[in-house]
Amino acid sequence: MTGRILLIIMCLATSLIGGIHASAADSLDLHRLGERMYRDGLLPDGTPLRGYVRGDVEIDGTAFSCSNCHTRSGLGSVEGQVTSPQVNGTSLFKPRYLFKDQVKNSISKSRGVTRPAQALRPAYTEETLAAVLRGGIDPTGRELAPVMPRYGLSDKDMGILVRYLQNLSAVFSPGVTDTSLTFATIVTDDVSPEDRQAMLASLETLVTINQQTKTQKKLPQFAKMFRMLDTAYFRDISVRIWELKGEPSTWAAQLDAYYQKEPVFAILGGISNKPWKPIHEFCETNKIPCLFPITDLPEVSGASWYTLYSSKGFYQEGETAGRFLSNSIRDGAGGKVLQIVRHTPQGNALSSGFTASWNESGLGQLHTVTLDQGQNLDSSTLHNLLLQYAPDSVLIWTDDEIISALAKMPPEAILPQMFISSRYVGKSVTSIPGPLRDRLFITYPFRLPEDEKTFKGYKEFLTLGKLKQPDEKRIATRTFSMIHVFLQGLKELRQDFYRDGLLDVLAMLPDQYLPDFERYSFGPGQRNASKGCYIVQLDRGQSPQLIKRSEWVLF
Amino acid sequence: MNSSIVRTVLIFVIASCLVSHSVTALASQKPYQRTVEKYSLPDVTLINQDGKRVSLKSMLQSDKTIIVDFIFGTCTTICPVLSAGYVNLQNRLGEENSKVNLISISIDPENDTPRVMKDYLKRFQAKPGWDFLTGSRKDIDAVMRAFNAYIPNKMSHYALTLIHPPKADKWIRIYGIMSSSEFVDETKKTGL
Repeated sequence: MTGRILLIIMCLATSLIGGIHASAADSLDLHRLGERMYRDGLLPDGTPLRGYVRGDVEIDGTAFSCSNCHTRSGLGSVEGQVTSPQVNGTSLFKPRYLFKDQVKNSISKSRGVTRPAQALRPAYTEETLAAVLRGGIDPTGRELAPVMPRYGLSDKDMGILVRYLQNLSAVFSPGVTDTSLTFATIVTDDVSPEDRQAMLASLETLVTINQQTKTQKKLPQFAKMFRMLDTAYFRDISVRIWELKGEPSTWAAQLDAYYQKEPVFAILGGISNKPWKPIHEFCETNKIPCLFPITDLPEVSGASWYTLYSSKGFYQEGETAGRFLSNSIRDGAGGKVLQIVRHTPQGNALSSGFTASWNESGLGQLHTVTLDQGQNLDSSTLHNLLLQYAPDSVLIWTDDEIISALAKMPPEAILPQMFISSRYVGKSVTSIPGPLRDRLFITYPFRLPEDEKTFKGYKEFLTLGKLKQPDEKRIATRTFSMIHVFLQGLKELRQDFYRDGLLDVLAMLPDQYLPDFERYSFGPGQRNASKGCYIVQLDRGQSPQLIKRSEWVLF
Repeated sequence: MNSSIVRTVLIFVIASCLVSHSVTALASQKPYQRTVEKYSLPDVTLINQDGKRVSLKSMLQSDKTIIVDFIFGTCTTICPVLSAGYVNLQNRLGEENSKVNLISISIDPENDTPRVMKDYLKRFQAKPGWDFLTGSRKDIDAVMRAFNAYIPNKMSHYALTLIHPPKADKWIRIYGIMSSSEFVDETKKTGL
């Protein structure tokens, strides 16, 4: 039925827009051209869309596209003093009401009673929409805000844009029915049963509480965050578990099969010890939001849209080490740097992040040595590398093999300043002999333990997860952070169940203070919420404490 | 529809009215507000789009007219308007551009790295004389507070332009968005 309505709308759109009679292929092209105008501010001929704001301030569409303010989904935004209203198909071509009137009308309709409220404006037609885009006057004669550009578009270009708007967020995304919202989470077969359970149990809480909310929503023991479910409370929330087995190269086909069987609105969390890339790409291809998977090996990409990560994982640790070292070289430290990299996804991610930020600074001299499988980093290999390169600083991106190598270094070895990753090395990092600690800098990707203890929201999260203390890998707390952010998004999304809309509203969230990582911040196109990492040292104690040597975010 | 559903919908309606829909449909049509203010600015070191450390105080103690605004690299609504104002000002001033230093200070320092800021300036076709500065959250907060422009949530920030005539002890504070000709006039009043 919905498909038929869409078809009728599309046919009408095609016949109404002057001069555009399109075949299916042309129709796709026209959609792409419209999308480019809307998102990138480029006209079909490739030149920027031009317009004026505040009377005479000329703007270039590439820096000022429609989606900038009205968002990619067309559901609009509120920023500071400016409200950019909804411009998606279902909004523009229907009368616009205050939200309260809209709800009042739908209640009346469901009871078979008509109580029409006064519309703010009537439905746009192609002609009135073209007029408002050109001259800034809506069909009621009201003038739009001066920050809304007035565009001098030709009839043909206007036709393409109007057609695009007619189809923009016009039909709910898959995974939504009148009574249900279906999500998935992903678990790969390299994940231990304990880790799997830590994530799934937390996710189950979301489903359980949603069910309870329907009947017990007034009980005070419900955590504040779950009250946000009110918006979706009349829909059943379910989370499917998509288990991925075998080689990552086969994951895409497995994901496709799951998706064909039952489409989902979004992927909530997910967990893997392997690089997230195949899942990231699946989500990009199928335009499915994926929120804060538990991975330390995310896909680091400036251009992707659909996956939101809590941080850039190992890459971010390397990046921070690069900035820390570049700053100390700028302040006079020696600039000869050696990077020893274990050829694993973890080592490579640390190295990529380091090299990227190192290259940005353009200081010093960097040598990178990659250790392949079977090539041990024992004390003699390390000693020889240090003698060969005589670096001022050495970054050692390996697991705990570095700890025994350092413990057995010959007494005559001259050790430079060293950097390692606490997450890659693991717990044994604290067994580094005391005298070496002064020369050892450690990337630490979480809030420091003593700060975490005083962090106000932390206990609340532990209680929700029924945890006495955080699980070592922070899986439950990270999953609860995801749920917390997701629920805020769901609340803001209201009844507009469009996937791009979910990502748009998440981009508008204020900064969040959550367990594990420092300050989560958001913004259109920002895809890594927490942007920093600490550099720490160990004190000389038997159970060494971490001493902060950097801010969370370095430049 | 049962009564609990109706009640919930009504609560939601009221909440919605109080929150976003109390923001009247569109921005204020009033002209901008102009005041003259004195500020005591902190001595902080910020980072520009080239990754260079710059002392804000020494940047502001200049023989040029200084213009400051607060933006962020992924901002959707206000910042592009402010930045379009900067671009148009640079274009309209022509040769006199060399007498003006435009400064944009990030209110999203975690995300606004030198690379993000450089890309932003490139996107707006900024000419030399427009710097985008970031820094530690602490320093940025100190600068915002000093200008009486503290914005705890970047998504609720507003249009503010601060103009400092050469060697003056006071700032012109513009609240709201100027047209291009108003911006040129305000700038020229500083003695160009």
